[in-house]
Amino acid sequence: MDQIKDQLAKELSQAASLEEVEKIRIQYMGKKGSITNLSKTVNFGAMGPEERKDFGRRFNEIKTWADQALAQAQARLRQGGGAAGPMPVDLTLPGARGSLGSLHPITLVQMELEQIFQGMSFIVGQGYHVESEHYNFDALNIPGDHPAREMQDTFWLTNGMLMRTHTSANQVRMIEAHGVPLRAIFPGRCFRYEAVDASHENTFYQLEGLMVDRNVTISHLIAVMKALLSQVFHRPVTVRLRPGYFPFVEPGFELDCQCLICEGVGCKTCKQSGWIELLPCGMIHPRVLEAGGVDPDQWSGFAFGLGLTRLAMMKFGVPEIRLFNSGDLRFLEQFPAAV
Amino acid sequence: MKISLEWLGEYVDLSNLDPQRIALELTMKTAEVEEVHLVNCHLDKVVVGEVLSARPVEGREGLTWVEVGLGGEILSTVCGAPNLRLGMKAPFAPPGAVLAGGARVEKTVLAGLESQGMLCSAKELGLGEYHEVVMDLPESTPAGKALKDLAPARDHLIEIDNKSVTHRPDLWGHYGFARELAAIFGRELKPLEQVDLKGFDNLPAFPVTVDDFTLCPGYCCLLMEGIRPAPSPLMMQWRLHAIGLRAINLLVDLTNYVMYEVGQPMHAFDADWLKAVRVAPLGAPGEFTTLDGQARKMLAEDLMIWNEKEPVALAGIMGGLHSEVTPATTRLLLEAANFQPGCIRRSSVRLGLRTDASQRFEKDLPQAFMPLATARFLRLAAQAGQEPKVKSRFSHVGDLGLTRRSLRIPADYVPRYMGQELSLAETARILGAIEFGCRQDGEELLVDIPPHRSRRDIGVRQDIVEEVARFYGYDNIEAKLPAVAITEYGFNDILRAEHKLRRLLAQGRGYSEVHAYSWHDDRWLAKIGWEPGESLTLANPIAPYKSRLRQTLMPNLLEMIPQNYAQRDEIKLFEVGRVYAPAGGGSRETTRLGAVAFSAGGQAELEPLFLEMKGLLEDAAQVLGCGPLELKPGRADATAWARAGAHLEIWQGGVRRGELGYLSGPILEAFKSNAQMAWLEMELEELPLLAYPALEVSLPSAFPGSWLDFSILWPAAKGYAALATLLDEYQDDLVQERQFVIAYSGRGLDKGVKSYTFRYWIGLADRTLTKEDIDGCKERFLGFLAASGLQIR
Ligand SMILES: [Zn+2]
Repeated sequence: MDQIKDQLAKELSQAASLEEVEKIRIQYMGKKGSITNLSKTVNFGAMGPEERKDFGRRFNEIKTWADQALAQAQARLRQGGGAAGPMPVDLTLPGARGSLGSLHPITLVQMELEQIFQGMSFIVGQGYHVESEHYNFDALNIPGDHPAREMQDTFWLTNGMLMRTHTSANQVRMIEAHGVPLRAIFPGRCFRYEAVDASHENTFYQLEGLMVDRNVTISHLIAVMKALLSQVFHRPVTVRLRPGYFPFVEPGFELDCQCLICEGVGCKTCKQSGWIELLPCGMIHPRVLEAGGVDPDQWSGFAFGLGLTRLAMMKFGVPEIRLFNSGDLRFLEQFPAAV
Repeated sequence: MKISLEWLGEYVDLSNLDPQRIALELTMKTAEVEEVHLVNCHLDKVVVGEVLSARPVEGREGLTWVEVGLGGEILSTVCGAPNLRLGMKAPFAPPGAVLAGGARVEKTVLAGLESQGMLCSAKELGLGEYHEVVMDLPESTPAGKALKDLAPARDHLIEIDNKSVTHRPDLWGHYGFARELAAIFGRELKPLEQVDLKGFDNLPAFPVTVDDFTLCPGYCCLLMEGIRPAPSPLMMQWRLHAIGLRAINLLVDLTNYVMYEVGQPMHAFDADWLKAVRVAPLGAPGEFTTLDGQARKMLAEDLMIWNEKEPVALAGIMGGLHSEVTPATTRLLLEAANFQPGCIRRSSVRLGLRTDASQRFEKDLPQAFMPLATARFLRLAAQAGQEPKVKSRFSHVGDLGLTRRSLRIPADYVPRYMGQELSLAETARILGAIEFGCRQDGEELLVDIPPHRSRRDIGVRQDIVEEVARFYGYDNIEAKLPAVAITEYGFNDILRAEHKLRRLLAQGRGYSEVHAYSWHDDRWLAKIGWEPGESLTLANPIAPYKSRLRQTLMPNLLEMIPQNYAQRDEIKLFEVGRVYAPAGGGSRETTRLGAVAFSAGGQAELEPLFLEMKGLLEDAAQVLGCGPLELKPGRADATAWARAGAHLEIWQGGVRRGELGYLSGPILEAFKSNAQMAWLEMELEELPLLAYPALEVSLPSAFPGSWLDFSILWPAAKGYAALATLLDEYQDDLVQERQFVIAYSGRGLDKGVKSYTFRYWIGLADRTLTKEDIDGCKERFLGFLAASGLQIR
């Protein structure tokens, strides 16, 4: 063993390049190297237990020594101790990108929100884009002559159905499908008949959610919304709740979030108000619960709606809503492939 | 809608309150304030002038030379307003006065005549936008009086988001906001002065009939004489102009003023020829000319006001051309009615005729507004110095809405629903401040609803919670996360599959996710030469050529290719989206994966492009866990993009799940000349996505195996599959797996011949292979090839 050790030390001291050191390493420590093979050349069967132990100790010693000696020789040569050429790797070159694609910005926001809500034990549903008047309006306490219908200019189909104007259309469907108690969100595509410009689209995404249980209160609604927004923005948020009118909730609220750009002082983003209107929400109207076959004297709940498209615009600083459905890869490729 | 704080001051003392604070409190407790506008009137130096003489300026049509008396001094001016008349009182701005917009009045010579100031419109004084006429002040206004002594110089307008008061018809007038502010700031709400309508009970009734009380729950009217078309009091004009209306004459102004005060629209009919009122639908389609002179196409169900057998007004929307009150009118019938919101809304939306009146009737006005508005009208007329002679009793049919409604709720309901402790006394105090009665009756609370709140607004117990909670302050409610029981729900299989595919394509395959529209563009369909079958169709599409809902993702995905040419030679995009098919009068909506890969690299790129797509499908099947997919030759020319011989069908469990292929044939003309494209579309619905066990792993052998590579020559025209089938026949205990490595053609090979390289993995389960094992296997396989007539390269 000592013989091998001396031989290795000698060869290493003579090595003039990293390539030579590597050759020496393979010769001694490689898979079939002379040090590696030491254990194979010994007849363990002929040894006593003490002898075996002693051999093992010395074998490990020489391996450790050899590793160190090799590393020292490499270091010496790297520092210019040998006739080394230029460095083999230019550390300053740009990194080579893998062949990643990209997820749609709406998908990114949606997946993240799904994770947040699943963490709060909400299930995820989806509903239908082509809906009946019943689920989109009537079951939501928006009868035919209700002025709220005109707030949502509707694409009608020739067969009397419609393109859902909001994900709220899935509220009663979810209650019918799963019964109560229920905690659910349902993200998806919605449609409004309106002219497309930089801030209006006829095709956009919302995420609706609801919770129905015994004795769900306004206090719960506020707390869950705060928890949601803190997770969305990765920081504690200040919110305010004010009256808002939606026929399918009572009371109805607009939940504003203190502007995260100016901390409430007032800036361009919040139109100097210090607040961003973010979440229409409210306590589910008893007629909506009834439409889902739930007794409003026994159960109560809250519902809320998030504009996924709007959230994506905020999150990624997208000033132009038309880009989302454009198929323009110069825009889409900027988004990451993973959530 | 704009609310004037000056006007509100008549009902509630708002002194010492910052307008911004008022706006914030309204936003937090009542309705969203969009903006606070400052009204800055330019009244300095402006005085009341009297038109002493007026004569047309020769040769200058429309211009009048006027001498204006200022209570002693007489100045002259040239004026273009059409409403000048002798003896008229109007605001006069002498030289030196600065008017709205910053213009300074100077002495000038106009058309050779000296102009020593100007008569002003409301806009020039800083009130509203109306500038066509000079303000016409009441006769009694003293000439020479400084205008700033007669009217306030400043006001703030609170602009309310109309949507936020859709459910609150009581807030469509100033008095409603005064009531809210009185409650918010704990100040006294002054009652509205009214004329007692009972005083006319001994007069004859005006004949009124209503055919259907569901369409017209109440109708009130009063016959009167003696209102002359004089100018309204300055402050009435001031307020109407400030909120963006225009003052016209006392009668018109009074009806508008009452509407913007209490929220009830009123209508005045010329009673010289109106004999009796009947409220009924038109009954048959026809035409009706409204007072704006437009002939409108009417439907049988449009609700009308009839004079005996002749329709005279479109109920709740607009009067008819011939029923309008004219300066010659001596008797008028003042209507205050209540109509079914839906009925008014349907007609007004269909006719495209949205008026201040229809906007309010759509919102389910409380019937109690009818007598209130009438009594206010009379009182305001008297204040204007024109007490009308009432000629009929207050004639009404239907419900006057004066019976109070009430709701019974559990005594602890409000705090329980809020999730916030709140004493009964506090609940009662808040409700009392907005005129709700509240009395405990055992375990229950009896809540008495004031007549000015609409049925649609206050109808269920949750509405009471809202009233209490908003004045308590939503922000004062402590946020508490709910304690919940865990419930077992099923997985959303489709959503999980969607996300798995998104990750696979974006992370593993370099694809970009897109969102395409849910409808086709017929112009593009024509370009690619494809016509969908029966489709779900939009009745009101954005454009006539964008009406058909997609039943396949492919055309819209393909449409996204050309716009991306300019920047790149390779495009890979996908969508996980819905398609919509008609199904028995309804729709069947399913989720699909669609992918398109494009290369501008020429013909040589096509096969690798397609094979990559085919590999993608295998990856997809693996991540979805849907079991092996079977590929079968596609039907001939199924679609423009799925051509015979250029596409395969994807089958699973005996069901066709989709297709993949490459573009060939005429469709290529829609793209760049060297475009190579592969595509894939697969439906996720009903795929078995959660097979159990998810897969059966093969255990890695403890004994190292080896491999043998063979390159086999085969006529390219016969295809890979035929060769593979042939090789399947080779049986050998040592062979564990056959792996296809690469196909080659070109240099060194005969034309039409391809070399297919396979790697055979060999091994044994119970021992390490020896050299003899390996050589033996090789020999056996070469023997098989020779026997099968196959050559190796
Ligand atoms: Zn801000």
